[in-house]
Parts: sequence; structure tokens; C-alpha cells
Amino acid sequence: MLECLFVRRKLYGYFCREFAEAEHDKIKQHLDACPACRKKLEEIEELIKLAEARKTPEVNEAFWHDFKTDLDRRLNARLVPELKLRPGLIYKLRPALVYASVLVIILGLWTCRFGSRARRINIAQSAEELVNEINLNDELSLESGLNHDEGAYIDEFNLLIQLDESPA
Amino acid sequence: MNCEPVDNNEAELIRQLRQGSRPAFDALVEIYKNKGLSICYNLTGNIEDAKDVLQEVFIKVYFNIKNFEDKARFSTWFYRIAVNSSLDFLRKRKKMYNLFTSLPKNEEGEEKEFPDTRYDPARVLSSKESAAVLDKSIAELPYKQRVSFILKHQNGLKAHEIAGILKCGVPTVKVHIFRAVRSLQKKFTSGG
Repeated sequence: MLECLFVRRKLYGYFCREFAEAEHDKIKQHLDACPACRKKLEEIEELIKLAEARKTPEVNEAFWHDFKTDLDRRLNARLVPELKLRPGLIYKLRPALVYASVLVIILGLWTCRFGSRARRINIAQSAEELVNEINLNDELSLESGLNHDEGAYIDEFNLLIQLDESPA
Repeated sequence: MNCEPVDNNEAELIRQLRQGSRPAFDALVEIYKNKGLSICYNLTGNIEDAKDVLQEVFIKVYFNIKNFEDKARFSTWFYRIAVNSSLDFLRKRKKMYNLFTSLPKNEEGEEKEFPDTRYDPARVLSSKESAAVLDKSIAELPYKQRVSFILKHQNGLKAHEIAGILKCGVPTVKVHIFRAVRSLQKKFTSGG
């Protein structure tokens, strides 16, 4: 039994033929005479056989083609890192974007309020208002340096009278 | 698995790769892709994962070739990167798995790589299920036993090559493999 204990510790080495010839033969002699130890050796043989039978699956050319394509892509990506907008950059630019938006709104409001000076045509509602308007136009003409001659002035006056008297 | 020392052609490829040569890199990929896939597959257990890990291995080779010392064997250096990358992948997968459930632990208190699946020990080495049981049993082995066993019996590396990969002595590797075989044997037989 003691010998079995020693032999069983050496069975794997025996299976792998790691021992010198003399020791190998000694173990073999024991195995020939001991069915229990022989059974243990068979178990090891089966175990190793099963492990070695586990082969890598057969792969075809398409597999290696895909492999190489992916490998090149990954390697190139590491060699030339992709240009990406850094996430922090958008936050840094955000105040500038807010200022720009506010500026656009202010400019829009200013343009609406002061930028367009389209004059509306007011129709005089009474003779007195008409006279006042004419006087105001005269003053504006004088201020702006307009130089109406007498005929044009009378024509304009008559036109205004006609417009004023015409039915709405 | 034969693991020759760096021959002249390989040494020249390595020299060119150090200078950033892509054709040299492609040539080394051609030489080592099959062996690399085999190691990654045996450690990850999935061909698509193995493919992904192996690509990462070659990228590491490309960027770290300057750290490779000429006195060492390129094959050993390459296999070490392949083993470490595969184990990193398994660790990440385990972390992802842990987000949803906790894994059982093995005899040495390490978490198993895969969920524990109950099986009948009396069902021994006679059916296709045995292969699956063996995979799970190997996955439950402690790290160095597992790697040593897989590299020896599934990838055909020699003890001195495994010692180079694991950065330990040859006798230590033999002890790891012996213990791995003994553990697996116990799981496959009721008597131990």
C-alpha cells in the first residue's frame, strides 16, 4: 500500500515520460501487478486525452480576412486618434453663445424701434389740421433745404385739397 | 508546439517593426496568428472573444516592441502578452457578471470564472458532456494551475516556455500542472 502511494504521486510524470529509464521501469513493474494503480493511470490518460482533444475551431480565410481588416482599423485608430469635439469645449463656449443670442435680440429690438422710420400718410380731418400740416411741411422743407417753386407748391396744395374733398 | 529561438528572418522583422514597418508587422501577424488564436481561445472559451483579444495582443506587440529584449524569445514574449490579455478579458467579463450576480468561490477562495454548474461526478469521461464538464473544472482551477495546464495540454507548450510566460521556474510549473491534474482527476472520479 505504501508503494501504491508513492507510485500514484508519480503517475502523471510516468505518463509524460519524465523519469529516467530505471525509474520508469520500476513504476511499470508496479502497474503491471497493481490493477488499482493502473486504473488511476487510465483516468489520467483519459483526462489528458480529453483536454488535448479540445482543439481551436477550424477558421476559414474569411475569418482571417475579417480579423486583419479589424486589426488594421483598430491599429490605425490608435495611430491617428480621431478628431473629436472635446466634451468640455461645448461648456466653455456656452457663455459666448448666450452673449451672442442676447446681442442678436437687442439688435432686433433696436432695429424695430429706431431703425425703420417709415412715415405714415395722415389725411387731414379738418381744414385747420390741413393748414397746420401744410405749415409743418413748409417748416420741414425749409429745415431740410427743399426748394419748391411757387407752381409746384400750388399744384401740391390743390392736390391735397382734392384728396381731402374726395369721398372716402 | 515548437518554439524555436528567434531566427534571422524573425529578428529582421522585429528590427523593422521597431522602426514602425507595417509590412514587418503584417508578416509577424501571419506567423503568430494561429498559435495566438489557439491560446486566446483555450483561455477565453469563445472564438469571437478570442479574435477580439488576439487583435488587442497584436496591437500591444506593435506599440510595445521597443520593450522587447533581443536576448529573450519573441515567441515567449508574445505568448505572455496573449495569456495576460486573455486573463484581463476574463477579469473584465467577471466584473460584468458580478454586476448581476455573485460567483461561487473555489478551494483557494478565488471566484470562479464561470457560474457553477452541478454535475454528477459518476458521469465520467464518456460523453460530449465530459468536455463541457472539463471546461468548467479547468475554469475553477487556481490561476497558475489553470494557465499551466491549458498551455501544456491544450496548446502544447513545453514546461520551460510556460515558465518563461509565468516568470517562474520549470519545477514550479511542473508542480502547478501536477496539482491541476490531481484536482481534475478528483472531479472526474468519485474515489479521488
